[in-house]
Amino acid sequence: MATFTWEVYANTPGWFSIAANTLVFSGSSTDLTTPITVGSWNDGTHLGDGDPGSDQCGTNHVPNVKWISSTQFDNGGGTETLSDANLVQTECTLRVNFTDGSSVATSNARFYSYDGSVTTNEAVGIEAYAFEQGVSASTWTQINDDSGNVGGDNSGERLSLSDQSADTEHTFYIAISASPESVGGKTQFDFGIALTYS
Amino acid sequence: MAREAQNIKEDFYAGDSKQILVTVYDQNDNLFDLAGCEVSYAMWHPKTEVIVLQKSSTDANQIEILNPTTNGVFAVNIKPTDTVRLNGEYRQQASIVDGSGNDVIVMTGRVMISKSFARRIRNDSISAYMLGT
Repeated sequence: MATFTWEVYANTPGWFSIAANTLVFSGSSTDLTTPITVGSWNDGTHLGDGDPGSDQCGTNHVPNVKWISSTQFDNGGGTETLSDANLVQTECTLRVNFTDGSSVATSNARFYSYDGSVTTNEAVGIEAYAFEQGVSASTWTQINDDSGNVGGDNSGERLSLSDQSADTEHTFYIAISASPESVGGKTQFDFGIALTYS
Repeated sequence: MAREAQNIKEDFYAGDSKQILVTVYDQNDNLFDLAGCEVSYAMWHPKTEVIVLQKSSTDANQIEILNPTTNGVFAVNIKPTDTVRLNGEYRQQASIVDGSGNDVIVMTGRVMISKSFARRIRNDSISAYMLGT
């Protein structure tokens, strides 16, 4: 049966499933409850068992990738140019695994943010960018801008992921950066992934 | 030895697994022995001439010369990822280089690839949260 597993590189550190936890963007590399100033970008990424709940990262927190410009990021060491060499797999926000008992090829894969209810609706009150590591990309892709009505699983408003040739396991490494557009908790805010396989 | 009009006009959908069988004849219309030959295949867009697919018998997973070689048949193996993003009419060609170094086109034709919609889909999601101040 085809299955998705969402993982982060944290705790010991090592890759582990986020299970039912929530991916929390905060204004602190160590405290998931620290808010982010409106218009500013995440300084911390965490796993919480609620909104945000208690920190489930373990010893090491989820790697944080902060949007600086369309071609730059900061993961705690200062501004760097977006590239596979500068942002390696273990520095990405998420690793999404797709597995199937049979060897299958994947296509039309995409990553998006949405309101948690309708996949074609953008997430509410946030702006977000995403980047796929390992495909020689060099720019962020905007996946959400609520004020600009951008987001959801819509062509041109999501991150297109690489086609992958036949295998029983497929992996996508994704970096995400988010910013609140208004004061308050952003709960109509989920990430989705979809693909076809054969 | 080129055979025109080796067309695929239907039943070829983007993302299909497909095997294109080609039979090679010599100038006397006899089956050509493919022993020791290297086979190449290409598909390209007819207007832009951009090659969208290339295969070679140096990799048997790409092009397989079928046994016995005296039957003159080779199979071009098309994988789903080869055509998943293709849609429309393309041109195709196959060539062989025999043991004496003779290089000749043995097949040409048109290929119509239709969009496919009925593919298995999977999706999933996770929750996210942020507090703005």
